[in-house]
Amino acid sequence: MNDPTLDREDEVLKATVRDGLAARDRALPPPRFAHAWPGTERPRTATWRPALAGGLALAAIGAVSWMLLARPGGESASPADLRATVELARELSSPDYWRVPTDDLLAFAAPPLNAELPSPDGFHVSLEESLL
Amino acid sequence: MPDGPRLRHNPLIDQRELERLHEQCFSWALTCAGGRRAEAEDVLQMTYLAIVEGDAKFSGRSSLRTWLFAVIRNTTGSRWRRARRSLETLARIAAFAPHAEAFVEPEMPAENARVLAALRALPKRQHEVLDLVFYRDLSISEAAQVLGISLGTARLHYERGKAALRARLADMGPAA
Repeated sequence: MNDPTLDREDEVLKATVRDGLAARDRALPPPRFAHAWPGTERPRTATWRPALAGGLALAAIGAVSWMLLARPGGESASPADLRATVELARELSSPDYWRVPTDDLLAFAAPPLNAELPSPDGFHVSLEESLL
Repeated sequence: MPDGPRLRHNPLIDQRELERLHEQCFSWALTCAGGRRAEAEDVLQMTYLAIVEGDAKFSGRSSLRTWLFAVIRNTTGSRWRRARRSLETLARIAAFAPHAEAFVEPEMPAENARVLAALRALPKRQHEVLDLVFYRDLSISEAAQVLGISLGTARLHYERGKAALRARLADMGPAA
């Protein structure tokens, strides 16, 4: 292919270079495309999917451990649990007490009270009686 | 233009078009790898892997061929940079290492071998520009894109490369 920007000397040089490189390529033929091609595409999720699964498993284990060992009202209720209890009490005493989710109430268990309250003897009123 | 399957992570690339350009890509990889066949094959495999996995993304701003040549050249460069960081790899590829891939001059007529030797003796950039423009029919502008240099710099390498190659061929005299 002649290039109009090349003069006669350049054309000769170009032909010389082309012949040389073409001879090299003939002597060193390429491998088959299928040999060089990686074939099946590896999904880009291949690397992060195991990491995500591991993270979810750890989170599940953590949640179960928390439920078993440190849930509010348990033996080892933490200050955070106590704060949650106070929050629940505040919500129940508000005019919107009926908005408190039932699940919260069901999950609620007051921590054991470590103090003796004064109680007059014989003063036992059942729940039914108190409602009358 | 072939209309074959598109790559998932490079939707602008048609796999059949890649296959059609495979021979040219290997030839350019050979140039980048200094004529070492095994190195050229490795470079091409890494290039294809980067394309398949989308690490090298074709955006259609240049022709596919120009882009491929640039990726092959960059892949060759990054392999060498990594190799320098590893003494073991350096020992493998360095010319003095006993188990390095020896450069074997392929069987060819003496005149062609003389031209290849003269080309290899040129500074790398001049060698690459002449290869791309003379042998692969790229414009100087496209060669500049492949090499990641400005058009002015590519022109300079082109002119100096031609002059240097003529001088070397003249010094070497006619083939025996």
